[in-house]
Amino acid sequence: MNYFIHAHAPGVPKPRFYRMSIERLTHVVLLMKLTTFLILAFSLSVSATATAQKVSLRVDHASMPSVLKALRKQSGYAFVYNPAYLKGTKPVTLDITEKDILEALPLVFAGQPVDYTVNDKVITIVPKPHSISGGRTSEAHLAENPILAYPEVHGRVVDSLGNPLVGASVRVLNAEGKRTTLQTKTDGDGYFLLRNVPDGYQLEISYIGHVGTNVVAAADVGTVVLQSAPSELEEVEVMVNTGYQQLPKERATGSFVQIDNERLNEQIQFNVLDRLPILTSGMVMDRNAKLSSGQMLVRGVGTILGNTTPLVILDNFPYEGDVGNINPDDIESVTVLRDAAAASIWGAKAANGVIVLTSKKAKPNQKISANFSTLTAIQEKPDLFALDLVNSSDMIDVEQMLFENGYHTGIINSVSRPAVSPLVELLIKKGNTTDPEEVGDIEREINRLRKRDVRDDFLRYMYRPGLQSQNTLNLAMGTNRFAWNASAGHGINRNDLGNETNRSNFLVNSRMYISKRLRIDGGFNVSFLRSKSGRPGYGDINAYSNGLFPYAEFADAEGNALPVIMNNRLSYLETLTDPELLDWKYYPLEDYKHNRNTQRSTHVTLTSGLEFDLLKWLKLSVNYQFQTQRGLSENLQTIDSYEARNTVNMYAKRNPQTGELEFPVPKGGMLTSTNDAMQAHNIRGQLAYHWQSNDHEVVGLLGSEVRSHSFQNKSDKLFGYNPENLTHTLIDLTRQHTYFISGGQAFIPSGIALNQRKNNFISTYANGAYTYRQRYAATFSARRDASNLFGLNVNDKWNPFWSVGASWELSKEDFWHSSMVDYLKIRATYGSTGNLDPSKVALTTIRYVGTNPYNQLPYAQVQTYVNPELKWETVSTTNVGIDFSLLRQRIKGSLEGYLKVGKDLYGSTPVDYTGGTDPIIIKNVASMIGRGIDLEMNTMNTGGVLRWSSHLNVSLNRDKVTDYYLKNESASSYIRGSTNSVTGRENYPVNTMYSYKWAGLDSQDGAPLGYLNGEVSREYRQFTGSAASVNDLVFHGGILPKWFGSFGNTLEWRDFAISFRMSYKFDYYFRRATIRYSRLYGAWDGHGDFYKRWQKSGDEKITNIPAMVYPVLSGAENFYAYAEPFVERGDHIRLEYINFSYAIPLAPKWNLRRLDVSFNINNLGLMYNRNSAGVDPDYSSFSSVGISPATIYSLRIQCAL
Amino acid sequence: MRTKYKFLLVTFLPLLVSCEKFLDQKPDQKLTIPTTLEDLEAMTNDLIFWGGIDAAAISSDDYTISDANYDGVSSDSHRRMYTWEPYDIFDEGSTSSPWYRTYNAIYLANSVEETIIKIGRNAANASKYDNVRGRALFFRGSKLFRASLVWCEAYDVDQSASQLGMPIKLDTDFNKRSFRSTLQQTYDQITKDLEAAVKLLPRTAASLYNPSQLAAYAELARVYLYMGNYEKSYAYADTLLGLKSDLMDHAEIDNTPTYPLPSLNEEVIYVLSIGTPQILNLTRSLVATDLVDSYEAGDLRKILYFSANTDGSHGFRGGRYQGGSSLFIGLATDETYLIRAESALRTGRKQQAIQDINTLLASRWEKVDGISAYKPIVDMVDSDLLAKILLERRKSLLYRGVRWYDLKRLNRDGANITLRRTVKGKEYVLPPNDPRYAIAIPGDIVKMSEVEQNPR
Repeated sequence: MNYFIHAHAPGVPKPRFYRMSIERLTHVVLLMKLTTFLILAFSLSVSATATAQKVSLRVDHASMPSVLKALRKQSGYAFVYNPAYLKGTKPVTLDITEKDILEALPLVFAGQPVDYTVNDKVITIVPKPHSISGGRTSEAHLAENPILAYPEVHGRVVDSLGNPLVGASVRVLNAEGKRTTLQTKTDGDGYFLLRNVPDGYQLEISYIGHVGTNVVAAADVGTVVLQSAPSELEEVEVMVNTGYQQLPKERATGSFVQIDNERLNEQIQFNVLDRLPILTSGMVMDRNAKLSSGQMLVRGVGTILGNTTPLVILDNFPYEGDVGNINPDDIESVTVLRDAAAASIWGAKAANGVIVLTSKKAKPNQKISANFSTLTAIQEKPDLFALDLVNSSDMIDVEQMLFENGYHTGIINSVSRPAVSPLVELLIKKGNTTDPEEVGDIEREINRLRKRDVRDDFLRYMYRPGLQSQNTLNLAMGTNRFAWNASAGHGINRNDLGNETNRSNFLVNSRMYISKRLRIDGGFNVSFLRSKSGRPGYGDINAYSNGLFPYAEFADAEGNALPVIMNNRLSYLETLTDPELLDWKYYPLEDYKHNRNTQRSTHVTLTSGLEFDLLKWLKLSVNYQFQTQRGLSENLQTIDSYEARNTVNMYAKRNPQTGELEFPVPKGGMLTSTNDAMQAHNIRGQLAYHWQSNDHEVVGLLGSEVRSHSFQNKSDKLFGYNPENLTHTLIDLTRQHTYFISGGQAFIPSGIALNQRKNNFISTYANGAYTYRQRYAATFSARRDASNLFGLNVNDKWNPFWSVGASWELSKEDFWHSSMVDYLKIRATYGSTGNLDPSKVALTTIRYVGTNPYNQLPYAQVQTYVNPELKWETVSTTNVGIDFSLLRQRIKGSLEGYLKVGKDLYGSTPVDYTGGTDPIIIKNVASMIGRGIDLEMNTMNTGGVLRWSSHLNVSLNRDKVTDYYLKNESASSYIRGSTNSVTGRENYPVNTMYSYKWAGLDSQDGAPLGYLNGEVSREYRQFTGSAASVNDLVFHGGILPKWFGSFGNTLEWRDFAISFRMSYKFDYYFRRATIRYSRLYGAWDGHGDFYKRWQKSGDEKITNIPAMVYPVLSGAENFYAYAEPFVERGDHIRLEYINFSYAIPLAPKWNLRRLDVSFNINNLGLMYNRNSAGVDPDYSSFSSVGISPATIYSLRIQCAL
Repeated sequence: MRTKYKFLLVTFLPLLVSCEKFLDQKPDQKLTIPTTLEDLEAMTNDLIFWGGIDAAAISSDDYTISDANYDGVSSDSHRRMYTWEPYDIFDEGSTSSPWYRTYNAIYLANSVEETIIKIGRNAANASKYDNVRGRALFFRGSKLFRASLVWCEAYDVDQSASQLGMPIKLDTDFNKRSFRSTLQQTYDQITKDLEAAVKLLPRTAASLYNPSQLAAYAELARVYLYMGNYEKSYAYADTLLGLKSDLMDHAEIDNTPTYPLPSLNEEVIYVLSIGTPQILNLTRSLVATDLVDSYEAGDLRKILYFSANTDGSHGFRGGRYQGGSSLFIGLATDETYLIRAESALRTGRKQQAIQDINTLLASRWEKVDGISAYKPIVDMVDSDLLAKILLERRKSLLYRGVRWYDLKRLNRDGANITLRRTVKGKEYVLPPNDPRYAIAIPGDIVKMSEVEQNPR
């Protein structure tokens, strides 16, 4: 379509600043194709239907506009013009009957100062050339003003005091008074500008807290004054979705956090949950208390040992599949339920908070719309050299020292021929020769190794920049009978090691309005996930005892793959010349190609629902959801993989009669496959009650649901597998086979496993809310859950959870006359939620593990020990909050305080295991309280040309153990392990950082010194053993951050916006790694603290790193690695992302509603780091070396039509 | 209206019916509350994986290790056993702790005892019932016995009522406080359980990893030998050898494999192992020189048990009766022959003693023209014969954990053996009847219960 445009608005002052409206009224002709399941052809014309061609008109001195209006109605042709042109037109007198529009037009315009052009079905009215100042041709004018299609309308909106209203909405109403999609909002000074407003249309101007008004569109609407109306606040009616009901946030008493699609999309994580922690007030990703994977915590911990993962709901029901299946582009909004009133409706699994994901849904009476978004991201290679390590040369010196001390003698003589490093091989060779030439060669080789760093090889051969892409097409449309939306998405996530995940998603949601009282919902959501493994990364290649020497080489100078020792000595393997044996060496550069893990899974969610208005105030709904996930993971190790060759060789046996080698494990590949299947059925019946009179409003829910979730998996392993023709060979798993090298015997692991689990739940629930005069509200909710847990009577299986709440909207009171505070609500709730863990049972239960290879009979292990005292954990939460809006919405937010009291919490506690239980068992051991504050604030800092808005989350969370039933003072249980287990000490935090008291280093030999009974001592075993008490330890503080949150800013100028977000964590401790000489000697694991070690007398004044001694001082590492100097503060500020976006101004002929381009940089690193060691506290896993995630650059294009 | 309520009823009714059944489904198909004999049998099958206690083998004087290898031993606990430290020997709070393994096995046995009574014995299940119950009692008695050898002094019949025994656990209530019984009570319980097991267990088990009546006889012979009740040890050893008297003809064993003794060979009665403690492995531990030198020419044990190192020292490659490199500390007929020989001599059955020692050694000697080159003992002074039997015991049963107990009981009877070890120039001495023969009980147990630490 083309427009011939003549538009001119002489003498109209331009607003100083305006924003393009992203929504634009256009004539849309669409032809869309969605390959999998939809083919749609759709055609729409805004002005009229396309059939009428003939017109009849009888007018006497009618105004030109009224004539045009009549013609438009009859013909279906659209008129495009600037009303100013019609000012000089003469009244029209005409009498035509059934004339073609094209014949009628010359009659209409005869003798008028304007002319017209017709293009397709659009009639553009233009002034006759002589009336234009400067006498330019219409074509020339067009070239200068390509965008202006319809006249512009501009104006300003102020309140009764003359203050500009910022962000007031201005909507265009059509001739029938219905809202069109054309709308805008006022800028920082109250001005607005709309383009393409057809003549005669009205503008609907509204602003929160003010009485809206309609004005007739004109080039200059002038200043519109809105009167304030304190009792009308419908504009901010944000709906929160609890998974059971949609309720206006205004009426809620509980604690909800809403995150909209826009903000979610400022991040690029493949898994939508990963985007939440830094956006959500009160949520934190802890990577300190639990190992590397981390845990998502909502308002800190509410349990000591129980599960801390929040419950995830997708479209009204718990999502049982892998959340990674969900396409983030399909998510419309996220609601996080933080307190008991919000979460108690979810009962037994809600103690850790609930995350409710809502997928996109169409609304009725909506024209077809299409959204397309595409994201491409590139991740840098990791900075391996940021790791603080002992370099190759010094490692070689250490090994030489060990060699000279006979450390390797036992290893060299061992019949199992364990691996020794290339250096040790050289040293052995050197010891066996007297030939000076050979000695020289060996020394040259050692010197060459000194200069190597395996990290170079890793970066060169293993790491590539990571790549991620995600494309999604979304369609939506609705009539008054049927609304539907559909999306198709495809994503690829290939990390820096080539591990690749492919995800395809298809979603359809629909709603049928069968009658005024009956609605039916239906939908499905299918995702296909495929992933395959890539190259081994740093830390994945282990020569021996989980270590790799730093001078390892993956390729020679020509790039040919070199073997790296694995399990057995290379020099020994070279003596195995039997041609029947397979090559026994491991080639890192080749091996991953022959050792592939692949996974496929399909997740399907089917939903159906029915909503029936029984009475005006009573609604019945029935929902059913079915989820299933099928997965197949395979590990194929072809005969070319080390694993397969090693297994074949390992059991090779020489037949004493024939002298031939026999292979109990046949030569061939190995295929391990696991099939798993998950199914979940959810049925819910619910009555919703809603009754309202002038002053009273009652809302209630009563329902019941049944859930059943089952999971099965099955693994097996094929030997002698040939992927070419799917053959395999059976092997004898029933007897032991002799190891070829050591002569020992062992069973061949079968790789067979079977599991089947099922969880059933029946629940009933009710909730209600009463509101008086729209300002006082009281709410309650109650729920009972029953499940098929073991060892409980049916009565005990039912668990009640409940909550009550109240709120008061002060700003609605008559006495409220604050010009500062527009809105103020206070609210309070109290309630209880539970924590349920099916693995904790009060009876002796056994678990069938498999077949005992020794006697071929099934065997079972005790899973739980009889403990009649076991009870459920309960967590009761009190929440107090205020919601506010200040300075005409320039500052909006909420401030909440909460108190969580956990009772009968499970704790792992050491017991006298003479009783026969495990040394550490899980019992109800403690009570705790958690207290905190969550502040969330949105501010508009500047209006005008440069708009700056901020979003701030500040959370404070502190917890402490209030009661610990079992006194355990043993120091080791407060300190041992790579992470800090929960510590049961009253009035101390739940997760604590303790360390051994440090007395420095011995000035004589640099040995670490501690305290034994107050005296400086080296009796490490005494003060780290069972005799040591927690009172001997140094208490540092908690290991979860006390203060945390994020700070996001958005700067907008014209169509550009920059947003960036920082996250921060303050006031917590972590234990950092240091050199451990036993790991240095045994596994080449050299922490860079090696260089700061004590080396001579006097060093003890400047360092805390003990001297290197061989053999290691017995018990010393259990002491110093856990002593004071290695506990650091974790406080830091991290720059999470920067997002540049540009909303491309749209030309009408593009037929687009929106075209946004954004460029995003993620993982920008630390802006502030408190600890002196320079360790990233979130990625400093104590037991392994941590690397901060590398920077990701991404480009996103979003387009809507 | 009425139809509406009916509709409601139809909607909600399915939710209310068969609720009970729905909630009684198993959450984990593999998880079971043990109720059947099959469940109990499966529990006893798990005990097969539980090894024995390695402290005795490591503390014994069967071997020494070099300073370099001592430094290279990764287990601090093993190094401390080697030098007979008075305290802090075992890893605490760990599932690898032998204290845990002992009492966890006893817990399993008690679970079986408690449950099997509810099942009840009838004609249909009698043989399985007896077998499972017999296994439970065997485990309880045997685990308690082997624990007492580590943590208690040698049983002394005159003082046993005042000697410290082991805590005795006869039910599954782990909340009960633990305390030490007297050694007499401990041995009463051991013999009671094992003697009951004898009556319940089948003569032989389907697998040598499962207890059988033969195993119970062999274990009882051992128990009474340590108690100094030679009449009974003779009786049990004699009963056993009446039922099973197989011996491996060492002359027919191929000595080329690394571990030449066939696994699960004909001498094995019941398998129990201690893994391969690094400190005892083939290349680190060196067999005590006096012991190596004591083998006579023609004795094949010297060839089959030892691997000669280039420096003249010897590693131990025998005793791997269950395959792999794990050391065997279970029950076998060679030990029973030695028990019968010793008990026979001590109860005045000298001819039996001589015959037993001859039978055993004949199977250990090389053959000339198909006939054992061993020269049988015809007669000997009693004291010499006893010394000979005890020496053969040492030479046959080294690295089987037996030596430590023998040291305890022989010193109790006045053998006056002092152990000495030198590690990096420092000499460690263990005089006869030293309190350290009763190894320290894990410190956390002493702390958390009323279990008394051994006198130090």
